[in-house]
Amino acid sequence: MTQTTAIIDIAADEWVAACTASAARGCDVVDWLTAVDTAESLFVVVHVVDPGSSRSEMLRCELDSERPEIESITSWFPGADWHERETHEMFGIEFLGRSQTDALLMRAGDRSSPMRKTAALDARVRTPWPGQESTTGRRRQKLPPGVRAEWTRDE
Amino acid sequence: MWRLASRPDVAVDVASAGLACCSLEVEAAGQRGLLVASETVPQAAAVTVLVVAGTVTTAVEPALVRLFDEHAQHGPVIIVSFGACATSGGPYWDAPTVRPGIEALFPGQEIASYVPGCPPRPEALVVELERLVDSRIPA
Amino acid sequence: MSDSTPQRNVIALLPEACTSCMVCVRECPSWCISIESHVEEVSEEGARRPRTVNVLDEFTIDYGLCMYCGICIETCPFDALAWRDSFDYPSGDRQGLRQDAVDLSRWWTTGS
Repeated sequence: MTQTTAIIDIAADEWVAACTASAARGCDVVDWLTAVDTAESLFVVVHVVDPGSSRSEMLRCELDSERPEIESITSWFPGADWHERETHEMFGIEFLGRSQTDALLMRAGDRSSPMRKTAALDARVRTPWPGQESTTGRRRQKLPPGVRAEWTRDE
Repeated sequence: MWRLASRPDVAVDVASAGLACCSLEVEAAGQRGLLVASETVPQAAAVTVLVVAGTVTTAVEPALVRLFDEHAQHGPVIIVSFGACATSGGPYWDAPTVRPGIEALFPGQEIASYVPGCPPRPEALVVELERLVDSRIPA
Repeated sequence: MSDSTPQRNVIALLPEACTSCMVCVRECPSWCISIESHVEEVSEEGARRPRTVNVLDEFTIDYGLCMYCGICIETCPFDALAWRDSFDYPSGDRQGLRQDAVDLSRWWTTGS
């Protein structure tokens, strides 16, 4: 793909309609569906392609980060099934109107949603960071890259 | 299972626990003729070198220990930690589902050698295998 | 070895170029580099006041953790780190893969 696909933002109640409209325009195969957690917001994103040409569309919907849910598109895009299962496990997003299936990649019953920014990576909190050392002896307050302040608040 | 091409008279089997990308470097050693398939060599091996090549996830740990136990039924096993993941968890040392290295994984058995790399070159494996064979296995 | 292209097999250190700025330590994604240093005052003839310099005490790379990404080499402002070809440095124990400034500086001249 030599051109950047524009991202179209869709309201949650128009998600299915927008995806099926893309399909009607020829982009009826799901390339991938995933979520993006920017810490400020949580989005679900789907990339749909027209396999006969190089056309594709990218649709994005902002979700409620406390209770993220959106309608499943698997009735219209069977290829979205694996992606919705993985996104559900990794981000804790409920895909409504689909059968609840067993754990795909995580151990059964694991609800830690590891791809959410709120999911603390304990090892990086517990392990002393070599970057904490200082030549001058003055302690740096800076956190290691990628480690969020809220992970350490309970320490 | 492999044999060392450069030590045709030494009866040592090289078994690879190919868990991730490092397994490709073990395969490349085969492709480059540095390791040869053990079926092509007539005499049975007395010693097995178990090369742990790749990330050890918590899910896979029991299978890896079982693999070691099965080899140990047939004779002494020399364990080589091949690459960063087997040595320390590598880039994934912080993942809750990854074991940060095989150092204490095999009961009552030390790791004979840690080969650094991410991944190490095939030649790095073979040079160290030759060294282990020369120092530990009677001709 | 058949190919003559420069290899990314080990990271070498030029200690006299290192100012203990700690950028490599902080940028390393694996947290495999550590530096110990202290500050000294150096008086110079004719200077209005002494200079404050960092003195490198120890520089360690844990090659059991290193993923050979090269970010440390790219970010060093003083070109004190570089790739070298040598790949044969296994160890009989885990600790032996933690190389100090003496080991790392040896690669600079002999690592080809």
